Amino acid sequence: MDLRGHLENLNNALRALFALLMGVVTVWSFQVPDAVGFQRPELARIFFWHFPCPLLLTGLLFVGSYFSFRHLVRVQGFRVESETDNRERQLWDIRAVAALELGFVFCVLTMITGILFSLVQWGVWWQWDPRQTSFLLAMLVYGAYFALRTAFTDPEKRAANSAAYMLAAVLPLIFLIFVYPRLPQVEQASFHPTQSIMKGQIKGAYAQVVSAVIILTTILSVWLYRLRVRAGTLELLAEDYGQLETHGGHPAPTGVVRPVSLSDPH
Amino acid sequence: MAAIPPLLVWCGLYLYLTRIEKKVREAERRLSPENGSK
Repeated sequence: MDLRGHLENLNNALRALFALLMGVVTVWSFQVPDAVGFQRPELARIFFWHFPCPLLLTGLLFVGSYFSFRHLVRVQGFRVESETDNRERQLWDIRAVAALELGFVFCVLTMITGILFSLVQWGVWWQWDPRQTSFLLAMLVYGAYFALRTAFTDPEKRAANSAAYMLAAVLPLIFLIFVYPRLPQVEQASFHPTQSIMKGQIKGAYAQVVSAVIILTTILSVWLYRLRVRAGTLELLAEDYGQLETHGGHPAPTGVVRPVSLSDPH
Repeated sequence: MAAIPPLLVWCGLYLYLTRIEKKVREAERRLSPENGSK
């Protein structure tokens, strides 16, 4: 077996090990004793799956914004324009999209698990709790990034405009997710159990399980991010290659013929 | 009900993984030598 085959086997073994760990942690989360102080203590373990999602979402949001910034720095011509710069700029856009796309997946998971928590603990799917409402607004602002990307057909404009949007949106997003729900008058009106987390009431087996879920989802996120960047880079290469094709769908010949000016012998 | 959140998280991430892998395979197919790429 060649090196490629060995690496593929190793990759499959790692995947299987990871899936096994996911199963073990999931079973473990059902073994810990029920939490006290909740309407339905046995269902408070939704927290294990809800809490890591906004953490990862925030991390990916910052990473994606930083990559967007790096893309824009290149666009603004802070460096000498060259083919390498152009490629580097495209790569920053691919990295930004990879991080922000994955962040949006966690944003959706945060919302759905939050709604489930609301249903089992407060008795309703949606009750316009300030925390829920501000997160819904944050999700809409975040989702607009992807809507904006679909509005441009030119890849350069798409990348530059969406990067500028994300840089403008990141502060309002942080405000909606972290600052607004913690304003004293808002916090008093909200049912969200922020205090139990902030005051260190999550401890013992609960803290261990939630840490394990955070570690596993972080590893999975890094893997998904890297794979998404690889997909984006390959797509970019395939697009570049496609531009060399003739209208008939066949690649252009190796020797490219260009019109040249000839000096008049007379 | 308590089983829904872990299923949601793992299945959601798995679906996202399959979507990316599909993209990778598609791009690799377009770049493969059989498709005219060098």
